[in-house]
Amino acid sequence: MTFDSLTFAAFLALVYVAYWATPGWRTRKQLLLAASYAFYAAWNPFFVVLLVATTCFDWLMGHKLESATTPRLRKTLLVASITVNLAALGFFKYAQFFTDTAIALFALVGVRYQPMDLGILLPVGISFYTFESLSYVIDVYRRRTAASSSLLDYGLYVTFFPHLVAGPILRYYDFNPQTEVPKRWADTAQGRGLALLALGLAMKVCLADLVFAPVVDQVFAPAAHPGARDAWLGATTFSLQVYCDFAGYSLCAIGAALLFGFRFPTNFESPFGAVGMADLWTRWHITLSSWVRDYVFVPLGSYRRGRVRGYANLVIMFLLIGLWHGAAWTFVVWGGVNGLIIVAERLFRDHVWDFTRVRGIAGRALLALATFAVFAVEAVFFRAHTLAQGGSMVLAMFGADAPTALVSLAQVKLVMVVGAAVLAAQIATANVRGWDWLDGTPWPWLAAGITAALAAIAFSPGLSPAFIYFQF
Amino acid sequence: MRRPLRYVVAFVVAVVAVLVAAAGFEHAMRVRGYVPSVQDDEDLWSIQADRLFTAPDAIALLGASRIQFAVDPERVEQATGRTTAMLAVNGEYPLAALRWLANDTEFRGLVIMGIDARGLDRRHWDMQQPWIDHYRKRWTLARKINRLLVTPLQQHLVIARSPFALANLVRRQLEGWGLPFNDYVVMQPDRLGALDYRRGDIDLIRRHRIDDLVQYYKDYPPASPQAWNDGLREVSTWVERIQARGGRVVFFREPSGGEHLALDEKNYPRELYWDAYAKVSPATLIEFRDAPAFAGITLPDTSHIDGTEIPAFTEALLTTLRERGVLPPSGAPASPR
Repeated sequence: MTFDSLTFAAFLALVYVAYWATPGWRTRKQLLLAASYAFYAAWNPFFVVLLVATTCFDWLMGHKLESATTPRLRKTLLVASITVNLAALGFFKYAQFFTDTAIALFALVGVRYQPMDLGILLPVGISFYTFESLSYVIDVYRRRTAASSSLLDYGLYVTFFPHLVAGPILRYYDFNPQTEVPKRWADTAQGRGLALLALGLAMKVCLADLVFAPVVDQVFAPAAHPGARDAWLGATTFSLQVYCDFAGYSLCAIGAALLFGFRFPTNFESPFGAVGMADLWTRWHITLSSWVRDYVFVPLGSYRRGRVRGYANLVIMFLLIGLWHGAAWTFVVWGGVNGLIIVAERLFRDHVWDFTRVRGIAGRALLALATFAVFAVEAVFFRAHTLAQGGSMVLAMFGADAPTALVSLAQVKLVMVVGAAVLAAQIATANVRGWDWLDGTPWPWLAAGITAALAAIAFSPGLSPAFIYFQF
Repeated sequence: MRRPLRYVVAFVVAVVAVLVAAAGFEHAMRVRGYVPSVQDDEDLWSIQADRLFTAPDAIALLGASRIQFAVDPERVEQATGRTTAMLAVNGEYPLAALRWLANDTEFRGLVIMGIDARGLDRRHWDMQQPWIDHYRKRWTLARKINRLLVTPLQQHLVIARSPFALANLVRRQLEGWGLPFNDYVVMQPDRLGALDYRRGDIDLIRRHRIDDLVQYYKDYPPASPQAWNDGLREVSTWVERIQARGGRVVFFREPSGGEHLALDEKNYPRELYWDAYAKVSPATLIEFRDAPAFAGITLPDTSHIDGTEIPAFTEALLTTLRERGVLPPSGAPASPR
């Protein structure tokens, strides 16, 4: 079930009442775990088996790792755990992609055979919970955290429903201490949780789905041939759509977790207020980029073996981020281009001009807008159905205008006004971190903000709820 | 003000403000003549599809608008005692749905498919495939619960439908289009739609339908009778598959009249197309002109009935099905199997 559905509203209300009415911390955690499995089963009950199996496997591996006495055995257990987790991810998410790619490669050398449809269904959220399981096992191996003594607590870490299907990607050492301390309703940030839930939903159902998505769908339709104006409009509008969709989801997750007394890490920090792409990636899907940094970039050697090797590691890291997003070459290209641009930006800053040192408001705003434009060009490959469509869209952005406009002037006006407001808000709050400031807001401002969010939700009836990041 | 109290006050103010605004908006729309109606979508269709598999002798109503806006599934269910699901889709011919039921070995019921010679043409076979794909690949319990919760809201509130979303209204204003089209179809939770011609300009609607049909036949001239009939061999295998499992399939050519019927006859002469297929088809074919029960039905726009005629139309269909032996005579046991 998705956060923007009435199913979730009913589910959340039921679980909330049952949770706070249940005496005993252990029973409450059991209730949350059961609710989380029910939440997952609402998509496909069979995949609960996979989720339970991987949870039990990694919990056991954590224990084996902790009790193993020789480095060789520890390494063997780590490799076994990583292999099993990646094999499951690879089978469900990438088997068809690699099969299709192999078919295409064989076709290039004249070997042809009937393409296979493996008919594999993607378990929702598998990329998210696999990364959480991997980080746990690796952290136990690194002795950064002790193995979980409680299968219930570990199960809740992997499965807790607000983050289960689309993050934020949690770390065990952040989450586990929260499962050890019983919660008291009066000590939890209920008001902030509800406010973030409302804000996240408003971003999703009103801005992403009703303001931005219609324009994006027109420009990226397979038969569309946009000119420069529409291509730029489609690319920038998609960037805003995917931000409102995913940052909205993350806020809902953070808000829902707060209702049960749990704190999740922030996943977005005004990414379009960033100056430079490197800065943007410290603000965009933070829990993924920090995961890949800690478990891929650093083990690869980061910059420790020289600049050139460091740049190569950076590109590898972004290629993985691309592939994590989807089993398609469009995502690989998107990741690769991101990596190359960040390398180019670093060289530019080191040898030409370190623009991140600009301090004036106007200058930083212009640089933020330029960063947003670069992000939008890359995002074309994130949204395009094929590499060819992405390529022709990027060429159109820097080519002549098409004789006929795909998007009406009225729609352009609407997305320009709303988009400008979103960008202005991000630039203005570029230095604001987290949501603690919300608690100190005077109540009339709080009421105005919550009214706007609730009105946006109430006056945005839509169809067929779905979040973009659920497909990952 | 203390932190929790601050949030309580803010939420109370916000909820009251939004409720007042929603009530005002609803009132304003009703004053302008809008009425609540369920918004048809793939999830609503999927709820009906689920019903098909709850009873072995279920009745599937397939077709396009002429079935969806004319045959009351509840009346059919009452009259036959058999679970009846409305799977017709406005504006889309139903061959994909027939193919899906043929391929699903669980289905052993009765198919009543509203269709004409044009709709049997191969180029229209896949029109409803996206609905079936949705049901097979994306339909979940969570979606079902969501749809079951949304439907009562739409039954009672005009503003619970997506055309009345604020962003869509702003977009329409910017386009210069004003408020949403005041649709003269009122849709029910079981996907039966009732047309209310008093709320539309009947001459304009009639003209529009005929102009559309003239243009259609210009753009898509009919296949030769031979090619058309050859194409239907595959459809016959679908019918045979359902009937081999104990089910039954009826192709029902719904009433049309005036210029509409004349255009259909000109392009798909009955004796060369419909009647020719009726001779070889394993399905039961019913042409409305052969069914006296439909004689009194009026068609304001030449191909659809007014909502007030739904009971009479449904009764005429049931009578005809009984006469053809598809359903047992009135008073006989509800289900022959």
